[in-house]
Amino acid sequence: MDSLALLFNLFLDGVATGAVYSLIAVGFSLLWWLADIQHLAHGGITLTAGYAIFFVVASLDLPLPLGIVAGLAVAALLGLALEAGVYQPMRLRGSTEMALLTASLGALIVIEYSLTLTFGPESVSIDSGSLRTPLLPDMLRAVDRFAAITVGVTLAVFAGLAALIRYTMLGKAMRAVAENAALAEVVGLRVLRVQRMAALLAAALVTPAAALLLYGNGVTPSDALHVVLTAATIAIIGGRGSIGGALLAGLLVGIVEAVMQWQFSVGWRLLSTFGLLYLLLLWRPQGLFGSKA
Amino acid sequence: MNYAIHILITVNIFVLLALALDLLVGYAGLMSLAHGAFFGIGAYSTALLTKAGWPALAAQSAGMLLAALLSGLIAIPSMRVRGIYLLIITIAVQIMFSVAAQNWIGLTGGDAGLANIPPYSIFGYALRGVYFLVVCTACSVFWFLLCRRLTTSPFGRLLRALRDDEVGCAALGKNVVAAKMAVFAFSAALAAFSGSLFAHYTAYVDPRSFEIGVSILVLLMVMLGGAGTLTGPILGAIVLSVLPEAFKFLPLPPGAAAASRQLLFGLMLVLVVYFRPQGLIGRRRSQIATHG
Repeated sequence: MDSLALLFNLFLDGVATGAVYSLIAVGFSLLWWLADIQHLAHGGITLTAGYAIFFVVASLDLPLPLGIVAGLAVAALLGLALEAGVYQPMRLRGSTEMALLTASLGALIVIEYSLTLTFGPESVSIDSGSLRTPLLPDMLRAVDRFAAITVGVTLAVFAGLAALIRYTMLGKAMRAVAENAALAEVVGLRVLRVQRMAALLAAALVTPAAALLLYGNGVTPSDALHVVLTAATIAIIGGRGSIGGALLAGLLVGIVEAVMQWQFSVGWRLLSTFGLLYLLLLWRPQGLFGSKA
Repeated sequence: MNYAIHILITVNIFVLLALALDLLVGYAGLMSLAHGAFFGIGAYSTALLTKAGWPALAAQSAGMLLAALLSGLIAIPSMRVRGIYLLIITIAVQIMFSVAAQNWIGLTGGDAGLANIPPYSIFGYALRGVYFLVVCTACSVFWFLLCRRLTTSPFGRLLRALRDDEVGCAALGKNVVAAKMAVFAFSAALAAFSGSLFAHYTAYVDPRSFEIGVSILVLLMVMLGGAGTLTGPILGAIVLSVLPEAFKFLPLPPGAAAASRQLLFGLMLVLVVYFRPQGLIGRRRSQIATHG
């Protein structure tokens, strides 16, 4: 394969990876926007959903839809428990931003090592079989049915989320709470409930991403921090609370990481993500699509 | 006996790291998860320079200077951003350091690390075992007194004011930029000092000793003991460097012991900020400060 074709394949591969990233990042962004929580434990929830699917599909040998339901249930419960049990009481007590960040970091570590103790430190994955056969083996090896499913699922989830926020009463309430929580409270919105719904939604959104990770490169407990860092990076680049921003920034990060491999060894990949973020924060702290706070 | 000396030297190394981070987190209100990187810069500088024939003190000073300069990487963006942005920037610096340490094989030896670092020596006397412990303890006491002097000085007052109300501080004509640069440089240099002692002690450095887990552990020490006090983080450092040793005596399989230790650390982090945000021996900040 000549060099240019390789670059093109890496680019397409980056699109698929970036799509998964943006699915995880949008939940982080949502909760940050609505509840002012920098939800580092989000990475742990993603992996927990992955392990739930793995447990149901590979260990219990049940069909994938049941696995997805289990993943959704576990992720949603965990997300809700953290918001209602940790973040909300701390916020109501007037905890500092630093205390909330620390609590979230602690929760991430607890989840990561609970998974390690339960399932072991090794990576688990499910073979995606014929889905990975390239559709056009001569030229575009990165294009297979799995990549198409990844991109399709991502676009569908994002469209659904955008519609939910734009057209439903819950979406309206969310926008009101994000805009001005005190005023929303005054006009009778139950702010805490809306925030709990947002936590539920953010956690549910990671389930498709977790499934895609599981059938792709696999999930490992020690990935928890990396997953949420990438998500936070994307949420920052995309701009707090911007759904479209999260999608574009996810694709951008995925593509940059993949294309880096054209010239540099894989080890340097992380450097590109964080180098990109560092430069962006120097130049435009509110992100590419965010408005100034 | 050797085991006790080993634990006490480790305690001293972490006490220095916890003091360094506390100046930032507790006094200046600036979050950092990059102290593992500054720790590593001190350790790698010492490893490379002493192996090249430099005296230990000169190598240590060079490492501190380098860490202080590189802390500008974090200090400059911190002029504009706080909270999660600053946290992510520090994590970015930490990860860039780890990536460089693993992949810049010509300089750092990659994952294989650098071995045969000579022991710490002052005026030609190589210090080992109990003598090294005495020097480490003396260093801890010295830095503790220096930090106490610093935090009770007008500069320390300025840092606390910065933490509680940055805009108000600037409005009173204080040089906020210079204060932040100074506290970052001081804190990074102290972490590098500790890293240098670590490199001499273990005689071997590799990227694993300086990754983000170390940064998190030091943050936990500060939060557990009580950010914004100097004795609190010292207590935190002692508790959290002795506690893992206790796990070695539990009948657990090797992997499970390390994992349950980390699990316990995470749980403690949540419980401490949830039930006792001021730490074990910290005092609650006044109501005015928390709402300001």
